[in-house]
Amino acid sequence: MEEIAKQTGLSKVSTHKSKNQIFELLKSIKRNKRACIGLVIVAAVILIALLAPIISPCDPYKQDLNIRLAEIGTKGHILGTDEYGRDMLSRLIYGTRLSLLVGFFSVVFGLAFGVILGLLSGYYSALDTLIMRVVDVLLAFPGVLLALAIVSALGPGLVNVIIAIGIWSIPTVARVVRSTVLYIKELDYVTAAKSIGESDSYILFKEILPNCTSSVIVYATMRLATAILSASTLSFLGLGAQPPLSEWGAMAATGRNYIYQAPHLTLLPGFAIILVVYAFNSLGDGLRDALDPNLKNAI
Amino acid sequence: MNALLEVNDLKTYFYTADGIIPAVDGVSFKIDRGETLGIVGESGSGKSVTARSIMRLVPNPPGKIINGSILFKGENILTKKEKQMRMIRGNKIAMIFQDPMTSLNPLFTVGNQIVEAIIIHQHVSKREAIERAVEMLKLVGIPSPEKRIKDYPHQMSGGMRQRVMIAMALCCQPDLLIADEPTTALDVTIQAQILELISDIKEKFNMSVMMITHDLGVVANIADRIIVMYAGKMMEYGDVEDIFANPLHPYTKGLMESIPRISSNEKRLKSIQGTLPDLTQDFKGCRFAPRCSCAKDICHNEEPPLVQNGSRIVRCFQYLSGGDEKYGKSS
Repeated sequence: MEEIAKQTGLSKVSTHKSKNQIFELLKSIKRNKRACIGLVIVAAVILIALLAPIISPCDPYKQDLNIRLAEIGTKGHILGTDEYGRDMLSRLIYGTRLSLLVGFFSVVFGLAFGVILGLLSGYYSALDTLIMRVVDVLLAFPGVLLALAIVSALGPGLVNVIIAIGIWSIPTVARVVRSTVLYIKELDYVTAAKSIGESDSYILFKEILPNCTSSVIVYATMRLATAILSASTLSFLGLGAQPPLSEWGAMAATGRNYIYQAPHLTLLPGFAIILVVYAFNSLGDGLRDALDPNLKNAI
Repeated sequence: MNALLEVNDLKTYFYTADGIIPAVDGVSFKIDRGETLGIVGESGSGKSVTARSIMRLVPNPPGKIINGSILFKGENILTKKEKQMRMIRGNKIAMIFQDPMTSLNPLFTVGNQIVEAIIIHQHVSKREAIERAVEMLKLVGIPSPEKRIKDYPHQMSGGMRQRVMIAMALCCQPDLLIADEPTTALDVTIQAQILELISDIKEKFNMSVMMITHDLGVVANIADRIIVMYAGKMMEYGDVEDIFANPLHPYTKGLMESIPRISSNEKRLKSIQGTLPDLTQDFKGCRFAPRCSCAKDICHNEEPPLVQNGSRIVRCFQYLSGGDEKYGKSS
């Protein structure tokens, strides 16, 4: 008996498979130049965020009023300083942390609720109408406006921004998941699972959900870009990160007052946002090409 | 002896935007222990819906079983709760599907899927379940099952996947196996192997089999009795030898004549003229009448009853006793 269990070792199989899959995925991303660039930038940004205390030259919150608004290239402050003499490079590096954090948690928040709602409404037609009408109401608000309204209601602050952007992501995630579920639940292997007596919850979470992951991953990557952008927008409007936090949107907002004397205060955080958003978008595109079986066959 | 499965006047209707479709309209039959029942008919005749009604897997909405009873071992399946139904599915009644390419989940190994099927119904450890799965794969004739159990469905051929499906269906030793066109998606040599496998296993476990197919060759080999279905109605029901030797219903005759023969010199294959009627329309008379070569006036106006003819049942006015006057002289 042990022999067979050893030989078959089902648990080992799955890790072996996922390694293979990741390898396959990387290979197909490698073929796609844009996705490749995206992946490199995303990896770099994540690395920068993780290593922020080590690589940043100064304390991002240390003020030095003797060198306020220093230009790019100043000695000791490669990217200059802001209106309180804080090192711009360090502030940008620490800003990566906040942006990624807000992006990640708001997407996770949106996914958690969106996936469950999508699964339920796709699988149980009785719940479908109810959930989808609620989703319709949420979708009727123009994007940032909804987040804006929620943050105004909850009060400014990063946590509230995460909640707001998360809620704003729910309807779209729910839609994406629902459409995949509608397709998958009609497939034979789901009927086959029913015919061997599987329970609904098993079918939903073990048969259908894993088959939704590719579309969810693609959507989540793209959504990260939007989430980071909207978080910066909200911070720019003064509803997100509060001073002195070094958040890109907030930095751009305060820098605006000095745009004639020291344009880099606004431009640098702006570039950082553009770069990260672009990177996540291209990576998302690449992932979609790699994970979508229809496109794969077409190529 | 009590029949294993007894279906009485089963009616499963689909409520669609275009109207009500009586996919299964008053079908009755029974399956004894160890018996193989073949259900034949063309696409859309209600064969699969009959099978899925027995499993209670008709998608609802739009489908609904509106009448009849299905007695399995004397208990009515239709009044059971969903939870009780789950104890029956896979455990007592198992099903294999038409397309082995889509009936296995592409994301899990076949071993994983068989093990899962075993664990739901039997209180065994995972290790024992794996052992059982290997045994089952060996039973259905998959070489080196210890290795194959780690394969994903895409690493197997259609015939192998169908064997895996059969292994999955059999792992709890069900009393009744419903095979919904199990060989349609396979090529002819594999077809023969799978059919042989099913009848072997049937003998071994003393199972009953309900074989749904549109291929008369399949039922001729494997079935004890057959039902010929047309547009949701049972047209003929009897022993397989009788029906093949002497088909009574004009539709059955037509089906038999459309089997191509290797000895025949004819250039064109024979077929039955016309197509299935639109079931959403109210229908008067025999559903086959518009395509029937011996249809008389009455056939278009009145629905023929099921007529007992010896050991067989046939739905045609020709065989109604004293029906000759009504029907007119049969040609």
